[in-house]
Amino acid sequence: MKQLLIICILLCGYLSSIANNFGELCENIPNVNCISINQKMLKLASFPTEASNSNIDLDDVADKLENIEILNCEHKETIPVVKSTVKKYLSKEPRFERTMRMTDGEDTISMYMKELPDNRYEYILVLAESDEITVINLVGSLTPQQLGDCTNF
Amino acid sequence: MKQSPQIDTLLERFYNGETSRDEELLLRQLLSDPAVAASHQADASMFDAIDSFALPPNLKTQILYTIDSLDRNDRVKRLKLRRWFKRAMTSAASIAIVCGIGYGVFSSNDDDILGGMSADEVGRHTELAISLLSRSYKVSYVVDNDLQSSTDNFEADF
Repeated sequence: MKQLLIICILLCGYLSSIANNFGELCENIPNVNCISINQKMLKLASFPTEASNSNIDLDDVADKLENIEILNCEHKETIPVVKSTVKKYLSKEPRFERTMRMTDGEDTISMYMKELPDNRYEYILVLAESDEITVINLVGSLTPQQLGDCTNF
Repeated sequence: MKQSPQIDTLLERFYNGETSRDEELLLRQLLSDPAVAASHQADASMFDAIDSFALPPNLKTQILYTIDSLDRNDRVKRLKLRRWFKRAMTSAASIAIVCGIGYGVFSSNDDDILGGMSADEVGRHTELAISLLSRSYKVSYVVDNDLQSSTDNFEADF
């Protein structure tokens, strides 16, 4: 199992050096559920009409999104691989800015963002628990202010 | 009109917070007399108002909870955020099952573009993802101001 883990880490390290986006990294990690909602999917999406979870005008927001990726891993031995992969992605130049970090026991919630060319932004949210890790990646022209305005939290 | 030195004495003690429970009951009884002096009508009305005002049975619990909530404001926000994360994870798992853990395939067919998901599912999960990010961004101003613009001391230590 240790050998497999080492191979995974090396493989992910190699792939992270050639991968351009978060999704390309995710799909190569074993035991990970990875979902990608791209711009074409967003255009065809039917958004809830009732404000069940937020006060977002999703039709308006969707126009500003390019890609959403959700990664989830509950495999204990793969979690370090996921963490390592995400950390490498966050460290790529230009580096992400950490906007928030909260700890609750062994759990950590972190948010990162960086500005991309053409007034675009990339946001990453990481929930790391002892036995599970979830990462959400969002890319689009949605500004931090607009993102914050999406909810009344 | 009925004058009672006892009422005056008890009222003085009452407003000074010196009356016992028995003395307060006696005072109420005296003030409930229709013949009570005009100078005590206001006091009688006040006692009537007190009698008609029922305190919620769980008032103490509510007050303590409110105070506790003020002290634990950050904690509450964290719990809220965690709840949303849990929903997102559930959402992620359901999408993965529907999609066969894969990516949407680009083609002219709408079903293929949606990677096997319905338009409703894509919309619902998009909403969840945006809600989570939005809440997290707002929380950053509440609990983690010292980490704003922290590119210099960046460390992905999750």
